[in-house]
Amino acid sequence: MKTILLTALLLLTLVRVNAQHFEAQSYVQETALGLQKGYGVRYISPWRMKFGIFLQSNNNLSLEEGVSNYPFTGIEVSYPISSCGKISMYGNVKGGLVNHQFFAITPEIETVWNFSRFVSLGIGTGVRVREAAISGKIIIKPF
Amino acid sequence: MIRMIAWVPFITLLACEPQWEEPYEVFVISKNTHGSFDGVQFLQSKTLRFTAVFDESAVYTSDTEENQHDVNKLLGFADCNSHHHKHSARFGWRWLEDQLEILAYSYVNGERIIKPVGFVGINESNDYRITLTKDEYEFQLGSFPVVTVDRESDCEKGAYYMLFPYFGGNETAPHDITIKILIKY
Repeated sequence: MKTILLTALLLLTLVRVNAQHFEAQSYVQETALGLQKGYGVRYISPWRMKFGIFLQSNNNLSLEEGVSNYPFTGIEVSYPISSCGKISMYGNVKGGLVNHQFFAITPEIETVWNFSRFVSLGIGTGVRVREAAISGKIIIKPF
Repeated sequence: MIRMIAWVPFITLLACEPQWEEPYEVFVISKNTHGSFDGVQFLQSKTLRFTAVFDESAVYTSDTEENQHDVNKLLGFADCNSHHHKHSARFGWRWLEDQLEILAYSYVNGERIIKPVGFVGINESNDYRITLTKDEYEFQLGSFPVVTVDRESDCEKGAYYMLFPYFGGNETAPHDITIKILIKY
């Protein structure tokens, strides 16, 4: 799974021709399962919906299963809710497998500040294992 | 003047006393009900660990004597993509012969399997663990011996929805029953 994700990440960020439709994100999320670090790539559709893949885990992006590691890999869909100047709000849904086996789904609300053409900052709140989760992220549009 | 006003929220915050949140989630089974909808949650790893505390409300007398043997449910999960009456593993409990008995309560291929695990005290905090292996559910309560139940689900990847406190059996709760649970990750 890690190989697939890394290959996809490389392919998606290196294809310059279509790069304007992609963004890479790195984030941290405080959850009931502990502080998780994650990254992913998202395709931005012409109607501003985003579709992506992600990986997040407690132990430095390790996919190894453990007592206190909950690697979560899957797909993400973001729907634009509203926009005002450089601030945009999205509704996100992430779905995938935790520990390679256990289905999980997390709804989130994300606010993004597009402060430059290439870089955006985002904060989000969501629900993970029936408890609140908060996140902060940096989004990079490569070209 | 504006700068002074800007300081007001910070000064106000300094006046606050920290409110430490109760770490346990409190589940209340209301009188004359089996339980309430407690939301949807999925198991996240092969081990479900939690601490639970029963208070005096766990002492009850059923309307009919035979129902006193019914097993109430504490916490557990339905196995991979199955309905919980097909494949599941939960801890159960009942007040019987002046003791609070904890049991392993499972469904394997639709067959209900109940095995005693141990006893706990009122207002006592105890650690519970259900471990999912390829062939078994392992139940452990504190220092009591591990109890195993054969597992027959051949599904591995999927949804393992969690099952929350439920009273009964046939009868509904004779009074409000409060159980405090802290799921450990």
